[in-house]
Amino acid sequence: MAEERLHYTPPAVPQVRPAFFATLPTGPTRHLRTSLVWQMLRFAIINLKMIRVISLSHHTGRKIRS
Amino acid sequence: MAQARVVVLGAGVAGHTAASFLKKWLGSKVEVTVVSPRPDYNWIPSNIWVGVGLLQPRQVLFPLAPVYARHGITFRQARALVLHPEGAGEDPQPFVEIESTLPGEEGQRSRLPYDFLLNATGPKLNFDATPGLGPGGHSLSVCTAPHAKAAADTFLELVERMKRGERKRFVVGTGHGTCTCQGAAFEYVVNLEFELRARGVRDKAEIVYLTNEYEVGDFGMDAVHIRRGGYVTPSKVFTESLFAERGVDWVTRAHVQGVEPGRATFETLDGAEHDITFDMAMLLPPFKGVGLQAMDRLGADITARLFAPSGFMKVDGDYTPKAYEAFRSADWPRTYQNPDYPNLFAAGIAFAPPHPISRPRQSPKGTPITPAPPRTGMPSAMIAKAVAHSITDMIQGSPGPTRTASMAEMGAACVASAGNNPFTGTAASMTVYPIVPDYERYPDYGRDLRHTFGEIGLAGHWIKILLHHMFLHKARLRPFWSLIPE
Repeated sequence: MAEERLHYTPPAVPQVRPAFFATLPTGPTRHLRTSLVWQMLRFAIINLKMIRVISLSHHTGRKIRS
Repeated sequence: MAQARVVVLGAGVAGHTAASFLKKWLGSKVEVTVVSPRPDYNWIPSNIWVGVGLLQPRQVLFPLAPVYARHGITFRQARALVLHPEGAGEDPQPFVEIESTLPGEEGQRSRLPYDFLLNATGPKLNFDATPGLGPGGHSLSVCTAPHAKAAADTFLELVERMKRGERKRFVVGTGHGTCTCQGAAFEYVVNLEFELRARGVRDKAEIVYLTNEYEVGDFGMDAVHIRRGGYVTPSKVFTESLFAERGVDWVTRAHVQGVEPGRATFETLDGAEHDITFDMAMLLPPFKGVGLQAMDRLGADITARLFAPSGFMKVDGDYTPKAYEAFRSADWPRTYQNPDYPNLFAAGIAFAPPHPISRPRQSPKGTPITPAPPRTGMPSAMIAKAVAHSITDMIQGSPGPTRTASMAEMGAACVASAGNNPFTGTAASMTVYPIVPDYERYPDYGRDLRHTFGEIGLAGHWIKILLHHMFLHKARLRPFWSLIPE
């Protein structure tokens, strides 16, 4: 008996691709992602946010109080 | 007090971190022995770039023996076989049986006595869970540097064929319904797509992301919600957007049943069975424990008492089986001490999580399709450091562990590369707090949205490059290594 499997085929038209229902960035958003000036600023901000989470987490490695 | 003996099983992020700090804090008061079956340290997050041919394995590996020799840590190239936490017979001295993997001494067994033992073996890559999965079968992996190199070889060969006009299909994702580490599969698929574009053959490639996640962006963490653009948005939206923008199709809720040459079969959560053909498949394996056994002093097997059925070691978590709705963040371990043997600890992937973080689901046929919880990278190192602190204090007289590092109380910062180029590359930068959702403290989403965020951009790529060099510097125990945070 042949296997009853659904064979994956690439979607024939864009509107049946899962991507059709996804959010897409606009041109300015894409531009900002690799804009050197903007990304330098984001570099600083992201680092600050990460340092904040890292410091919160290091507080969890605290001593057990007896 | 005589020199205390601490044995650390494993030299990955957790084992290496714990061993390094133990020696730094205790100096000559401790003899630290690291047991690892492989001679090298592997900075695994950068394997992604090895897998697309941008780095060579030597750029993510370095030999451990010289580093440990310089810092007074004993290194044994061996695999651990059996724990004897009560000693044997009349001798109550705990020890672990190891088997050498050193060339020329393979198979030689010996006993390593210990006062404290940290199990940080990491996982066994369980390719056997899916017939045909893995480098020994018909798919590729990026879990180790040699695996990633093999993936790169195949990738570069296909690129050459695409340059000659052939069309190819790439399938990237998870090779079983219970896989973890979706983040690595995500990074690989977007880097692969970026490299195909950079090499001018993107139009010849079809890329499919095949995952066991209920929705893309779950990452084994029950998704992440962030505030963005006036909305609280789930990670699914951002992940789908990244894939859509890059022309990557995705199939979710999939359990890969088998891999044959050029073809994978899979079942989805609705019970339907599918197949997909491919020219190259990079499918991550599920993890399980490395197969450590345990015996009491009379030689009776106590493996089931020390280890969960998955092979990971039980620590101070609440392992009572319960429904998803009854999961509590308090179930997660805090000190990583084994409840039966106070001188036994586990860290990193080697400790048994009490339950998944993502909601467990199964198909009508009973196939579990649920990502296992991630516990690699930053949490792994932080847990190891807390355990090293506790062992240090116990050696100096504390009656029990002194530090906690619950994944329900710590956050994680993560950078997922989405293309490696200093000007056109990008990466998704993300923080979550806490890793394990705490619905009692944060009823809506389980996490503190002030400290949970994500964005994609070139800055993330710069951070990823910085982390690559910083963490390799730290792992090599070079000057000021201990100042670099986990």
